[in-house]
Amino acid sequence: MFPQIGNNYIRKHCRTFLSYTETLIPAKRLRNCDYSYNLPDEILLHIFSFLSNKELYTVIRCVCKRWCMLASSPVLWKKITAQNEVPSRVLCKWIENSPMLREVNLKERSDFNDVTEKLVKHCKNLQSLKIENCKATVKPSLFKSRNLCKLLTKCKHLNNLHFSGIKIHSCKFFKLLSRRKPFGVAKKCSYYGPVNKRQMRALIGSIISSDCYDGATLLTSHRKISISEFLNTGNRNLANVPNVPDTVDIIWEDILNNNTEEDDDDYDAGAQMDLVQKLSEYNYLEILK
Amino acid sequence: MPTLGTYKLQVQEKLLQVARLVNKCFKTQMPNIKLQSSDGETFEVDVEIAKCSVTIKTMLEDLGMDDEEEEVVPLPNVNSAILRKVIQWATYHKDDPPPPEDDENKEKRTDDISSWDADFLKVDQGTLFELILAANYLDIKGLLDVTCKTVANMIKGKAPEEIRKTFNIKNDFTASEEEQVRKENEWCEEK
Repeated sequence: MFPQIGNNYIRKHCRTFLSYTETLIPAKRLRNCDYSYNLPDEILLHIFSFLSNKELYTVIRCVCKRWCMLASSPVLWKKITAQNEVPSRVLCKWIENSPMLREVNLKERSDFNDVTEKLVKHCKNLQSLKIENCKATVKPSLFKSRNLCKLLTKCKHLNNLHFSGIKIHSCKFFKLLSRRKPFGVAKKCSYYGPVNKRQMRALIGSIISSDCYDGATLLTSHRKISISEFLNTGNRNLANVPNVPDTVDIIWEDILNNNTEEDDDDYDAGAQMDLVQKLSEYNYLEILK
Repeated sequence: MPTLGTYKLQVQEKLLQVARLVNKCFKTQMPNIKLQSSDGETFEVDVEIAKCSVTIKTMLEDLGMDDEEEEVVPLPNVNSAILRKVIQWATYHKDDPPPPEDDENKEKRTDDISSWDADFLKVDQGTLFELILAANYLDIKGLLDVTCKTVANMIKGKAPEEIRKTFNIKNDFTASEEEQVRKENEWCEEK
């Protein structure tokens, strides 16, 4: 089956070659040789794939020219995870130089506006975005949700979204959050943060109008509301045409009522307003699909 | 009306068929395969164990070597010391579930090496890198992953100079190139 001649040939020559090198290079010298030199690029890349972005950038890049070249290879930069230790200018450079970037995780950073601007510019193929406890800029200022909206419309495959500990003021973002229909519905999408009634309306409105609300669920701090179940409950008078403002009103009321039930019932009008404020600060929202 | 002669022949033929089937059953039940290392040593291994190497598996399937028991598979890229280690690893892991496909969304961890593997890989660097090359050549994903993770762990937490020392890598940067990289990395030294 196998060419025995070739096999013998290799065996014979391996032997002569081995004995030759053994006499030529003393054992001690052999022990100190650069074994990694013999590894093909793809194996070194596989080894490097177990290291973090920071290690690749600050350590591997400095070892030797070959490692530097491999550490900058786009295959290793499909995913970027950055906490506040990575300076903005370095993170922006990473984003610029990673044409295969698919996944971005930001945590406790204060350069959200700059980073999202870079993402809009360079990452059309983003699939997953996770933002936790980030600030817009170093100085207190508002989130530029324009960039986020652009990302949501531009990145066709962005279907894994997770936001928590950020405060977004626009309504458009919430509208876009659930309207990922033309590109397929977001697989996983969650937003833990304050919402007001207008944003809730935008979100629910777009969930309903996208007619893919089967399975969409709003998780508030008090209860889980399944949109489809909610709409199908007969006594809500929403049987045929879902009326968005009504639905929102009912859900919003529902949240408020549930909250008051847990606490004392003595709320006057003023206190109730307060409660709305407080509730929207701590309310969290999750859209599950 | 068949004569007694033709009837006998038919029976004989049937018996032969049965005998062949039985023979085949025995063969497929406990087949062994011979692997030959680059330095000529042959190792007899259970086919199922040898098949954890995708390279050997495809070789056997493509060439239909199951039927010929005397076949020897030459592995000119693996020497006997390394092949012995590879077989030892494959024998221990023969009942493992097939390794999951690389999930890009999954966190890549290096701290999930089992204690048996960690002990198994307490070898000198030359052997470790040869094992990586063998695992790559034989296409054994589990072994390749665990050996690469071990090397990654040797890299982790070290400064570039320490890494060069560990792996005997020559620093081939010029002074000005090194200065430039050092400047870019100032942010992580400040801490």
